[in-house]
Amino acid sequence: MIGWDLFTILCAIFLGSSGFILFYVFLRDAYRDRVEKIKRQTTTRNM
Amino acid sequence: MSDYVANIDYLIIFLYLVMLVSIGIYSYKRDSSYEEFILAGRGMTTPMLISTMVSTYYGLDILFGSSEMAFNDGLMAFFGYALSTLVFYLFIAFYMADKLRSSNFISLPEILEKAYGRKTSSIGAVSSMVYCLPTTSLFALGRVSEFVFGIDAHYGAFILGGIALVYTLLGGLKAVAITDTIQFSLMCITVAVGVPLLVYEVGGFISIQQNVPTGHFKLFGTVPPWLLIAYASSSLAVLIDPSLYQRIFAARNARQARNAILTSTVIWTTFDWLVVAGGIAALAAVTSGILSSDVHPNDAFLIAVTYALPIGLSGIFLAGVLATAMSTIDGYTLVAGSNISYDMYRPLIKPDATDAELVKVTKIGVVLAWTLGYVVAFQFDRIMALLIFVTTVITSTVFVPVLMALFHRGRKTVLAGLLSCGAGLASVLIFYISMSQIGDYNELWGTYIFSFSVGGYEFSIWQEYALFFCLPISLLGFFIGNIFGNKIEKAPLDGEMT
Repeated sequence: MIGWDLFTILCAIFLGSSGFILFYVFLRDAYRDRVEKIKRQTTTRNM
Repeated sequence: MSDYVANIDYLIIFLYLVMLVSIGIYSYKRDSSYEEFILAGRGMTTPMLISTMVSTYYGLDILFGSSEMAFNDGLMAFFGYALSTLVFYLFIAFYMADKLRSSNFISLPEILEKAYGRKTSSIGAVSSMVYCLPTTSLFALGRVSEFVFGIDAHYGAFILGGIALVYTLLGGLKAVAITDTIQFSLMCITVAVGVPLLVYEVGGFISIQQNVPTGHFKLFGTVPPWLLIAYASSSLAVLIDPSLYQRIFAARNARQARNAILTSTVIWTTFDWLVVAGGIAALAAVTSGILSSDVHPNDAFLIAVTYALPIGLSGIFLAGVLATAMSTIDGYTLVAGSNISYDMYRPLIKPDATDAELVKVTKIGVVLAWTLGYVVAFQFDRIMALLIFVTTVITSTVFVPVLMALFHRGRKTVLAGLLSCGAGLASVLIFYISMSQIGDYNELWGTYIFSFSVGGYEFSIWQEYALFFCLPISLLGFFIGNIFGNKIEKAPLDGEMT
């Protein structure tokens, strides 16, 4: 293994984990927004 | 159907395409305002911003262009071409994001409108629209369809590009951003898995070095220096990329925009390296007999990575490749549509247009831009030639007036903006037409070259050098206009951007 191999592996680890993390955060935010929206709708209806 | 793709891979690709249309339907909102449709209500979260920035900029043109360059010239594709773009992104993050976001613009030509008036912004809108036409992505999508589905490139581009068109029309930037996030994840994960597997498959970089020409491992390769500078100069377009501007305008605040660009820049760097490494490894796979010797440099990366991945994963990779193209088509087509509605229809035809009218005209503009892009896409033989042409058009036209509007605190005149934009655009057209008449077509480089000698010295002008002539002409136009034009008493931007 030489420097270029190592660089390639490091880049792959960074890129792959970025993909996972951002997708997870996106889903989490979307879920929170949805819960928030439902809560707001319920509150408005009760009023 | 391709020999490298199994039925399970086709099923994955099919499910992915169904999901995209479903998102468009989910995001559809009958009474959305113009700002909601085009800027997602200026409420995009950081993960969405990063995803949409990375995936929109990183289209198949870059994926194929960079890997093709790496296949032909080696490391130069990363050190000579990709890195220069990343430097400009850092400049935007630190020096431009704050100015742009805090001024509450909606589009790039609107900056020109506020600084120099409607005539200048109209020329800017035309060049922005030309730049945003989805030509290169549709062209590349056609190539991928040929490889994956074995269908004619024209039909493939029509069907797959049509799906991107449908969800863009239905959901606007919100649908584009949601699909971009999914597409971004697919792109990152599949490239991150595929390229190391390909490198491993060909025996690592020690084996690669033995199987490719030695020039491939020189940092700046064996490409003529002026051509290298021309490629790097084309990255200047990043500083005035209408789609990137749209993302900055859509951010919740300037800080969020800057952070998203900085994170995206690191992701782009790793992505660029993996694509370049994949391109060089693909050449090693060809020379060592792992892949057929008749592989086209454009397709080498795609074929080599698909070959290296196991069944199932190659389906996800190909869906990721389609995602790469579709995320660019949707993002840029939406900007081109808004150029037609907000920057041409509103100022020139109906200044008092309502939100509903603007959304309607934007949708018509999106269809028009997509259709124009489709027609032009198959007129070019090389992706890089097309890419350089459109970047030259926008850089020569709006680079000087936009940067002067943002950074030049001194005298500015309407004539300066108009001459800078007009002379820049005219000079590109004259240069390209002249080169096709007086230059000789070079089969090896796939471009026009005009050679002449002065005082015993030989000189060559390549078509790719257009920016060296057109950008100074645009700058000259600005200075001449500034001398002879009437000073704008209170430039609107001066007040807003302090």
